[in-house]
Amino acid sequence: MNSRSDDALWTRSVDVAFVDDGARVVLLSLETPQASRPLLLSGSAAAIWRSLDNEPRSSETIAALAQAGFAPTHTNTSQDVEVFLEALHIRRLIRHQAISSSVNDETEIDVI
Amino acid sequence: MPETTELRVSEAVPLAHALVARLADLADVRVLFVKGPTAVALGARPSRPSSDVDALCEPGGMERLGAALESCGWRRRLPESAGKALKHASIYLFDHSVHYIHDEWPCDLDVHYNFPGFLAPDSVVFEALWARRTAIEIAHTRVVCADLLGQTAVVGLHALRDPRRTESQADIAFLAGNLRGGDDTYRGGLTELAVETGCSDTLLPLFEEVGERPVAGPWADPEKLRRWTVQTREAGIPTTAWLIELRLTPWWRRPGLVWRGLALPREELLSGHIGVKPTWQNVFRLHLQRWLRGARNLPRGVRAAHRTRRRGS
Repeated sequence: MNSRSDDALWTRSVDVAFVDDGARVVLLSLETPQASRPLLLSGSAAAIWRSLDNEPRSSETIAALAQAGFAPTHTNTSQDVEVFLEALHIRRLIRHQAISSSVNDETEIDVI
Repeated sequence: MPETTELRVSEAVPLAHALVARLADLADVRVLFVKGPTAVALGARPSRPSSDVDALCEPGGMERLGAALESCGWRRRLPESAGKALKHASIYLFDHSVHYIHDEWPCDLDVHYNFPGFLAPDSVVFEALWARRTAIEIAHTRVVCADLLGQTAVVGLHALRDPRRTESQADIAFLAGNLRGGDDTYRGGLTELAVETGCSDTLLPLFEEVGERPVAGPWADPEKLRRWTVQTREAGIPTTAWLIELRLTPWWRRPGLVWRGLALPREELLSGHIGVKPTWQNVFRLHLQRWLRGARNLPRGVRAAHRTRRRGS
């Protein structure tokens, strides 16, 4: 998991509905609605969601943005963030994009 | 990461819009969202919280959409008129939608197969509203909804179903303000839509507020208009419905009907109250509230029942 995150970019899935009142975020995957339940995020989890975007971002960037957007005293290790991103990925709420190993340019990516 | 069991209404309503839109899309059913947040977003209703989702389903699509909703754990809520108890009064009841509820969602889905007040056939109304549909973003998802004129007609008709309610009066005042402040295209467009969908007469109080008088359209129907008038003047559903039924029922069946009306089956009573635990105390409390509400609405119900016609008269 960690090795993949080292060269991975993450984006929000297209088929996700969500509401964010500033304190908490509730997500609902619409990809397979029969298997989906609303998912509540608050605190640093909500900050990580807000740090995701429709543009691909690395877990390091996401962790840094979440850190800046959440309580300064709170520390997410990059491993925490990666575990959380994997959990979102399993629920089809975010997409994982691996950077082609031979290319450093983030615009050239292999979509999984 | 908790999969939430504490969804708030303010969260559930937008998410449920997105869910219904997605399910309708997967089931290849056309739906138009009306009222609620879509009407607010388009400026056809004052901003206030919504507690349910209103979607108008294309004729012939209810079965597929219902199956899709049920596959996600939603189930039909039994309306008081669900049984055969109100078979005579059903023509006055504006049965127009199927309510879906879900144990983990604190909002209803109100899936309409028609909308009361539009006197044109359901397919004519749906196609007229669909032809001028628009889309807005709710819960970061695109949902298709009736446009400003369609929402104006729907919100206006909904308010005029029960014009005594404070919210109805606020909605009518809001729409009238829009029409007064709007240009000729807006007012003319609403007039044309009213003619096209058969709501020129039923929306008349709104038109009168702004000095408009739309021409009668091809769907003018005196009998449907009479039923609309009965209901809107004494909109005490469900008390009104039970009293209308009582008036139209043969005398020898009336005692049974009265008993049925007073002692509503437990599951029917609870189905209208999401989240209430089925304890005997709660059931008794709900019965008591219902009887008190019925007593309050009795005079209006009696007046409405007197305006109905006996079969054959």
